[in-house]
Amino acid sequence: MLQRLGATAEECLGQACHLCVHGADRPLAFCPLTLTLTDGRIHEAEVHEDRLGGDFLVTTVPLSDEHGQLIGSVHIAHDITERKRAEEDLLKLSEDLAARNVELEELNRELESFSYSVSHDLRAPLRHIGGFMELIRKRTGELLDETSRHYMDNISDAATKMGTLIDDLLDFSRMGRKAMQMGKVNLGKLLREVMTELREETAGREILWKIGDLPDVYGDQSMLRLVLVNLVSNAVKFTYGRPQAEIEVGCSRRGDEFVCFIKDNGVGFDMEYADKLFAVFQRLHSSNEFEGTGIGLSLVQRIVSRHGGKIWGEGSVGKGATFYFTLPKTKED
Amino acid sequence: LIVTELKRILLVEDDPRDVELTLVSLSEFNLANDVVVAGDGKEAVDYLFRRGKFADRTGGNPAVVLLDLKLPKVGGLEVLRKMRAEEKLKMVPVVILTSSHEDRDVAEGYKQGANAYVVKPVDFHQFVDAIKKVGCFWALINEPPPGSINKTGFC
Repeated sequence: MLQRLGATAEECLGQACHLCVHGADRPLAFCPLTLTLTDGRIHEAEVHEDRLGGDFLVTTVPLSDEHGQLIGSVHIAHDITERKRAEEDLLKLSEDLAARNVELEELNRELESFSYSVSHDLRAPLRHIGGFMELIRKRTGELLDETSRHYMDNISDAATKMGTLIDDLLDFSRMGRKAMQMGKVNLGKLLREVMTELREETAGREILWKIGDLPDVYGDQSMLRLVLVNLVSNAVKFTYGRPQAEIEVGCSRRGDEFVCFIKDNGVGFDMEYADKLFAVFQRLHSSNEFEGTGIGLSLVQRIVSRHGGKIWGEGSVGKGATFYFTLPKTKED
Repeated sequence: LIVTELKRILLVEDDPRDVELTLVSLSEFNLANDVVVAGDGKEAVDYLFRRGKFADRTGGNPAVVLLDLKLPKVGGLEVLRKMRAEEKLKMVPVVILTSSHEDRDVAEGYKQGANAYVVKPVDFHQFVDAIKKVGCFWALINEPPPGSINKTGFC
């Protein structure tokens, strides 16, 4: 206080507060002293004093003589300059944050209307390309030579492929916005359902399944189903052509989370490209070898991260791949 | 406009290629001649409410309206709202036929009183199949409300 005042203790001793601190000849209006002198109680007020370049919490305590007669008050001033500054910073920060939030909401709306147009406007021309190609095919029949018919097939296939890409992209963008419906999810049961769903893909295949104990987790069932569908169908897809395909699914506790994995002995991948596994439309195999749009793992990653988990893959060329994902345990667990 | 009298299907669609593909699909049940096409929402409203160039339209209500959502001038949902607010058109079956399978469009469609919501399949064969089924059910099998144009065929 003396430092801020630029005075020595001797200079201040015996002086009234209003004179010594404020340089005024009488108590200032904002000083709680007035209140204390009126009702004889303790009062406090936050006071900013330019002369001191700071803020103070001033408490005035009534001072009585032995007869209980009010004769004055004691002023206690706490230097709260730092606290005030921190409060102001915090206020500024939260204002900035609110503004940023408005911006983000705006961006989100734009993105939504963009994906809406994509779904509506890009689909129609695709249908026309495929449709009129089909009508030409019907009308010309065997009139066209084989090469021309092959070209028409290419056009139709390309249109179909683009339709799938648009659908996948929309699924992906929806997954980021969709509200999560959290609840207890029995992963073991979910996996059995998913395996039934994938019957078509596994039909006629010789696959050795090794299914470990899977826990109950807390999450969005339909989203977690997509995680399993994508990871399991990837394992099925990339073990195609193996003399004995093996797919292992398991889960273990590690600290305060579950680590689940899906392991296959398929074609695997080069760890050099591991960081590209989860990028949208990124593919590590050509369409000739394995079909796909390159959206599956991006979708899986988005879902896992929305659950507060992590995902990573390990593999080597020709020796299979393992995908791990974590899901946080809840209090119930 | 005598020709419009027997048109039992009102197709509200702004994309001429979609109109063509829809007509091709409906021709399988000889329904193509039963279709009157409105190229935007305003024309559809004029046709239904017998206004503007359709002021002198005679005959009953269509047995079904196939309604696209994204239309110039007056949107599909707006057309539907106007229909449901009008005593004479309240009961006319409306099938929304659109490329959008956004949840909010589906929900809003039903909320405004659509009788069915069909997403146009991207694949041509599926598209033809869907249109055929819609046309067959709503224009031939379904008994339309009183005041609609009567059926002339079966599928």
